[in-house]
Amino acid sequence: MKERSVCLIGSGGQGVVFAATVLANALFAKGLYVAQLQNYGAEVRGGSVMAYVVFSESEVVNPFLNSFNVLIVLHDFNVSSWMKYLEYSNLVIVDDLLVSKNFCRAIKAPLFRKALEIGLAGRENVVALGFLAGLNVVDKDDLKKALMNTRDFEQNAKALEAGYELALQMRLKELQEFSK
Amino acid sequence: MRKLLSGNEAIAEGALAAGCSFFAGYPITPSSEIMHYMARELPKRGGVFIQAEDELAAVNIVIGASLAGAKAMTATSGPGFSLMQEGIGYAVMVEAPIVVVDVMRVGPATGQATKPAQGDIMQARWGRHGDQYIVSLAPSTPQEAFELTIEAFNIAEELRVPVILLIDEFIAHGREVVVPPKLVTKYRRTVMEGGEEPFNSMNPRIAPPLPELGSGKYLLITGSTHDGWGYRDVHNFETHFNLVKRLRDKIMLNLDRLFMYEAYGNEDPDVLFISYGSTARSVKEAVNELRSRGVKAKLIRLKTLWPIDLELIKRLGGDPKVVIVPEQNLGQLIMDVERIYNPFEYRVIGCNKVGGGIPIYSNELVEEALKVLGSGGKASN
Repeated sequence: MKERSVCLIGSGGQGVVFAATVLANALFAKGLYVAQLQNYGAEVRGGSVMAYVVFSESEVVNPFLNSFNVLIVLHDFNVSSWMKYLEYSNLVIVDDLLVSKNFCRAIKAPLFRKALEIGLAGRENVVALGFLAGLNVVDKDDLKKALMNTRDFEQNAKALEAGYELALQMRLKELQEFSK
Repeated sequence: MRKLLSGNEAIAEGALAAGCSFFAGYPITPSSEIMHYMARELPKRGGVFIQAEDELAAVNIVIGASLAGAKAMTATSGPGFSLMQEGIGYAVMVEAPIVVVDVMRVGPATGQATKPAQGDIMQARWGRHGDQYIVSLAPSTPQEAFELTIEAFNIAEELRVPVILLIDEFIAHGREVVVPPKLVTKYRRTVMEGGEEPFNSMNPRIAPPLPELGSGKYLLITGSTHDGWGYRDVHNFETHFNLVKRLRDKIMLNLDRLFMYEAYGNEDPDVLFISYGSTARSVKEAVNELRSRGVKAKLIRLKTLWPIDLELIKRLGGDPKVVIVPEQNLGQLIMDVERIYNPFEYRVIGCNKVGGGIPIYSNELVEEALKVLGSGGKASN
């Protein structure tokens, strides 16, 4: 397996770092080499947050990337500071409600609206994780296991499932690429 | 057993593996996780954890614990590290073995509390007043953070000197796979039985043994100039000169053991990178990339930032066309590199980027190297 990477961008309080942590734990449990890095401000809420996970079957030589296999943008707060990432990443998914700016190549996905729909507004981060599972980036069951010890596991599991379904419904052709 | 640990967690685990039994500190981003971990784990193992009122107190509590026989450490970041300098200077003078972790964030002053930098390497080396020599180490992965923490304790105990572990926020908060070694070499300090001078040594490479404070043995401790028995002598030239010379020699005569590095790439490179910490990770990829394009490239990664073996670096580096020193500061290690590669003869360039948590990317280094090689390499000024 070639080295792969997933990046999440959002606003402080959305659980971007949490999502990256769960993703890293899930991939680690699979026996992979994992590197998780994040960039955030001193704010508890608000402010620009970016977190990513690099994973591979061999040791991660350099975790400092400026392009990713998958990039998910959950909020457009200060997103301009990450324009390079949006430009260079392979698959860019943006939330269709919380990201109002238009980016070329970006695919809009109703991650936040999905969370609203199932009554779990604020869990768009876990919906995004489910979405990644739907893209075959990571195994859904592994994510579920990684979420086991979190608070409100039931709700997280529900959000995860919703995100997974959403990705399948969207039938992205990129899905095929990742399953290779 | 493999674990997924942040650099901070790896340091805490490394400290426990090295036998650390005492931690005092004051919380500060991005080093707090070390303190959290020690607060949780030390009491379970019969150790002591103290949250001090500030960093000044923290470092002095640690010195006291160390003199009383404990393997003691503290952890902080830039602003706290500045406050600790006075205490570290005192520890140098009274030869108290302590480990100080400085998780480097963007400075000066409060700077950017959550963002990484490598701006404290000269402060770690020279932050105190007077002639003083310490050891500073810089891991570049959580795995190495674990290993070098153990090494830091061993060096501190063996040479009776403060050892400063410099780690940047990228590695401190980044989580990666760590496989703790099955066997850990722990140095136990020699405890003096009595009758020897606790502040003098016939062999300048060896630090004198120390009686534990409170064990009933005779021990005078002072930050003023003192003789071998610890008696203050604030007049005499010889006493002071011999003391500071010995404090220097016990570090510098052990250079072969203290200077740790990794050399990676071509034997006789055209492009030589000298780097450390997280930045060296990007450099490694840049070296791979340059070599795949047929450019002879090499990385010398310093695990020890002080003392530095200049001769060895010169021997390893050979006669390159260009020397690049990437750092997350405005150019600090480059001053040492320029002592090895005279900038009037060699092309020595820094690659500097700091602030906002944006790392130096490998493609930037490759471009820089190719640009300089294209323009002829060696300096003609």
